[in-house]
Amino acid sequence: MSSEGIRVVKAQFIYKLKAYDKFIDYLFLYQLIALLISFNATGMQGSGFGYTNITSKFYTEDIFIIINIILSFVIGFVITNKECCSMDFTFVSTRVTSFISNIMYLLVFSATGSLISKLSGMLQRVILYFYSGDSMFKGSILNESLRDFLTGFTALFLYMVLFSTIGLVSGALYRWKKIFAVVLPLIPIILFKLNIDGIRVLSAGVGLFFGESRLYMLAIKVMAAALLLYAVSIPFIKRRDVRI
Amino acid sequence: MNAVGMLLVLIPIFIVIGSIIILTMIRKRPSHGRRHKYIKKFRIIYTVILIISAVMFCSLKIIYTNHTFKNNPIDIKYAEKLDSQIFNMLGSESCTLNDLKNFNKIESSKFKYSSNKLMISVPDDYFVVIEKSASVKKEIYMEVYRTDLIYGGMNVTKYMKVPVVNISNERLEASSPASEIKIKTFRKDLILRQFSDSEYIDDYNDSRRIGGRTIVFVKLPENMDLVCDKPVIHVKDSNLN
Repeated sequence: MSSEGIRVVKAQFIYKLKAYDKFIDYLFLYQLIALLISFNATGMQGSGFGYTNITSKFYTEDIFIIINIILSFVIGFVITNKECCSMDFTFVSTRVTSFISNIMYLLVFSATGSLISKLSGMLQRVILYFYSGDSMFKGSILNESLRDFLTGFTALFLYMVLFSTIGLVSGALYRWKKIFAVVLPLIPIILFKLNIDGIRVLSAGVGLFFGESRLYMLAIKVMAAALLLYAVSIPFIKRRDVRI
Repeated sequence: MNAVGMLLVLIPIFIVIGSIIILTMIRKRPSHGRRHKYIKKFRIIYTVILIISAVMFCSLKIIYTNHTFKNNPIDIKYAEKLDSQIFNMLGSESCTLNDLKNFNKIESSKFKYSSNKLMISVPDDYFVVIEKSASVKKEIYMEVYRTDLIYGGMNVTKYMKVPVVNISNERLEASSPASEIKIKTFRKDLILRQFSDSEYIDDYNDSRRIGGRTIVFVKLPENMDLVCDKPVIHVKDSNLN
């Protein structure tokens, strides 16, 4: 890319940071909703003997993560719509510069989402700690180390990047040909049913990322998948209509 | 693919499509003016709350650095040892006074008693230890012992209520007030679980109960007739202080 192209991408990226601040609002709103949901225990276990009853309730931060991952996909998809694309014509730009600036925005969005999610998790723990009544705590209510925080932050960031990329590419394909509105939702169903040598393709694909126990390997896999998806979608993006 | 499998696949798709529709609908409204001002305020307030909670979380972590939420594994082994000791005592229907010293004494009392007959009634999960002694005349000594209650690796003994023991009409009755122990278990999130070793998962699933046994020790005159509705453990020696 030429130096002019880099300058345009930078200008578009800065512009998008301001123009798309409503997406950050959604992020905050959804995190608040997730916080309210998170106060419901995800599970309960009981044990009784004689006159002693023990009730154990389980809490997690899972809801923040799930909502963030869904939201990152949705934002990735929405960012490719007509109104958002029209914004790019404020600058002398190409489809590719617009696409790259979208990727950069999604990286920032993912980092912000991941940070807010981790901090919301802390808020949940602090509230649970002070409003626990006569309950006692077991597990990592205050035991989360800085290493856990950074691991959680990085991994969530990677997942948000992955899902926002899938959203971005799905959006790009959908804008290119409307037939993808039917084809794209069918892909997970087909993958779910597809069985090669007794291995379900969808579960193998999910396991490739969610079954990875080394963070650096997850980062490599996510980067590889994202680059592959970008490479696949760029030819379609170039073929989209131009505004005169 | 069965109907349930199909539904499981479709649910996330519905959520995503629903979210896109909702976002698109909201997006078309003007985002400036009063509404924008409220959203901006909300974002600032929520950010401040998040920062405060992060500071509080770190402060609590520093304050409770040495606070252990879990018991030392040695204590769990010790509780297991005491548990098996009680059942050995029950199996042999005998023990020594030294055996009782291993347990925590939580209550003791002395009753004046003139009758030659005593009926003992205790809850089903209690153990009764009897010592008949020639040194005791027209009195009954009663002591209640308890072993630590470990649940899921945590010592929850202090949350158990102390039994109430009464003696009236030739009847020694121990009753146990109901104890409700509430535990909140905070599980690591799904991403951290992915990078955790299996040890943590096992720890989370640990709902084993160890200990929490209550022993009612009664020392009574040698010639007293005793009626008890459950097996009794007798003290072999008589070296009680």
